[in-house]
Amino acid sequence: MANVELKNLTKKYGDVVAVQNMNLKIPHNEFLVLVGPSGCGKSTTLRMIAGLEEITGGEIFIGNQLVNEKDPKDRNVSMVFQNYALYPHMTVEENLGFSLKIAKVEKKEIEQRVKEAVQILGLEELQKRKPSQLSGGQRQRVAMGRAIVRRPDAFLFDEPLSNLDAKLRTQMRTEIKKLHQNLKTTVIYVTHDQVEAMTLADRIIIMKDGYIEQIGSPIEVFNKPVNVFVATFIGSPPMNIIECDIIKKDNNLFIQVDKNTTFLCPKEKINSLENLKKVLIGIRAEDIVPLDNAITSNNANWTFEKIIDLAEPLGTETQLFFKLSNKEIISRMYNPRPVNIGENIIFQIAINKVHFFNYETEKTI
Amino acid sequence: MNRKFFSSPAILLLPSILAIGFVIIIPLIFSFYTSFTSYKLTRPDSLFNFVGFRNYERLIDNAKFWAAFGRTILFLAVVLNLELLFGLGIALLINKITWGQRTLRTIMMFPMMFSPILVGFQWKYIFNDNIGLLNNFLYLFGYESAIPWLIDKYLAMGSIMVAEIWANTSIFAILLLAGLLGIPRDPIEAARVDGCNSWQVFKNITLPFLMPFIFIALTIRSLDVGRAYDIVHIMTGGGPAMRTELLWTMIARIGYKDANMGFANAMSYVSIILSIAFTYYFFTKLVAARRELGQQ
Repeated sequence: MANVELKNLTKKYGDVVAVQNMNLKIPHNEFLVLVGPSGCGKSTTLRMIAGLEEITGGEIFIGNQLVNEKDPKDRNVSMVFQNYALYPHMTVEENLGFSLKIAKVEKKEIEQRVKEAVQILGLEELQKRKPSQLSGGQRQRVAMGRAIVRRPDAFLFDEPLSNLDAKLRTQMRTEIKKLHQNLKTTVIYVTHDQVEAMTLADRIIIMKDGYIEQIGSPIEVFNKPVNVFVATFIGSPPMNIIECDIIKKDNNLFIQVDKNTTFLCPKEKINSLENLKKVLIGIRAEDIVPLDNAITSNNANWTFEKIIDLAEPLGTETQLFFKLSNKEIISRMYNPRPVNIGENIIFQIAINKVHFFNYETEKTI
Repeated sequence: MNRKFFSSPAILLLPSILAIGFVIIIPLIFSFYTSFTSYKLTRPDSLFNFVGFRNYERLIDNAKFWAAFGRTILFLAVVLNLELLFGLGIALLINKITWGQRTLRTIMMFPMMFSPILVGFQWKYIFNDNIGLLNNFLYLFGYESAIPWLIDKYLAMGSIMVAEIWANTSIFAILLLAGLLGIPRDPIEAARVDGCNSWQVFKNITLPFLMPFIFIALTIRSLDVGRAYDIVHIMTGGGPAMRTELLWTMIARIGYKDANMGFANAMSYVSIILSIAFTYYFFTKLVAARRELGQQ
């Protein structure tokens, strides 16, 4: 039961910077997800909080206590590892009770707490088994149970679902979410999977090359990405990013996507785009809608016609692929009808859903 | 019947059957047979002098044999335990080193590169009471009375043990180091987060992971030490007054020096029981340790 705070946290391996000046306050009971591509420093950050990795610079506070110099064992955090990291020579029961045994907790109390964890995670049948006799999902459950019994100040999850198959992953995701709601503890969760991040997090931190790119609620980072990296990282399929020229004609500002496709610049962006020559626009697949099943909006919409290169029916939707300015664009067709390759389709884009990014800095305009 | 005997599997297996027959089975049967004769190396005709169980009966009453038997067990127990202890220590230390590990691993293996006979000679001169390095060294520190390392009945045994341990501790170190390098990092980190200090991590995680390697090393070394002959022969020749006599130095003396091969072979067969017992014990332990880790 504690908040966690990072101040100017830095980690360097020789000259290579893994984490750079990270500042972060995690209030008690928050579910925080660190997400980013591999090598972005998210796992390193987590391991520094756990005490498994030495800190190059900065400070870590757990429950308002400076823990920089403390051993992992004195930090009262639990960690769930990607490879489960169960003790292979101990039964499920012994795995669960191990930390309590080390802490010299009374036997009765250990039994009680192990029993609780076993019930929460549905491991009743497996108590006497060894890890080698368990399936991947069961092992992951034991690993979580081992974290629960300690009643730690904070849970640290290091890509806990990466080794599970897709179906089990979804199921365990829900369980982790429920667990957090029941236990009311601070959770710091590392993943490279943006879907996990979106579904689990109270707050998401998107990292790249050791820096924090954006912090915000899942909806915030989805709707208002601060730059192209966040925009393309969050959301599936990734946001379509198109390079455009800005053209002035008859006192009007136009955005030219390619020779045949030019859109009128929305009024509220004129001021910021006027002096630029190029701009990157970002549109999510669900915001490029075929005209015949378009959601009507009050805004003036952009409309254009394109030949379909490929259609992927998914049941609830069909993903349509076509070329715009030589870039492959994905559109989502809800209430799908059969689409032929080579068919001409008129698309509509709701202007208020278009993201504008500076061509050089890739930051949101 | 005929067709079965010359079937292709039988023909393909024939070379190995012949090889095993000539190399192992025939000598085994022959030596076992001689243990029931009064075969003397100097009198080949005594090979057919069948005496039944007399050699074995003599053996059971032979106090010197059982003394050597007990001494061998003591030798095994002390040497194996100390080698395990030192080997484990060295392996743990080398495993901690990040820079120069390879070089150290090679240096560590130097004692293994010498023939046991040469090791015996070298230690014989170190332990020599008059011209030995050790006594001279002690003399420098003011210890003036020469210690009879290889002559005193207790010291002589200890001196041989020192030489044996010096020469072979690295086998333990290497095997255990291999084990240490193979331990996954995650359970150790999990244990550290779970509240273990270094000793608790070692006791609860590292050691169980190492157990199979420890028992493999013990099995190999128990066979090795159990047949110790060369180093003892060189350093003390079984003396003083047969007080460092181990099983195989005794058997060799009776078999070759006294030319009493039938009796020596009977002793060998009893001695082998010791090796089999040790091997069997360590092997069951090994299997149990592996099962413990869920590896089997």
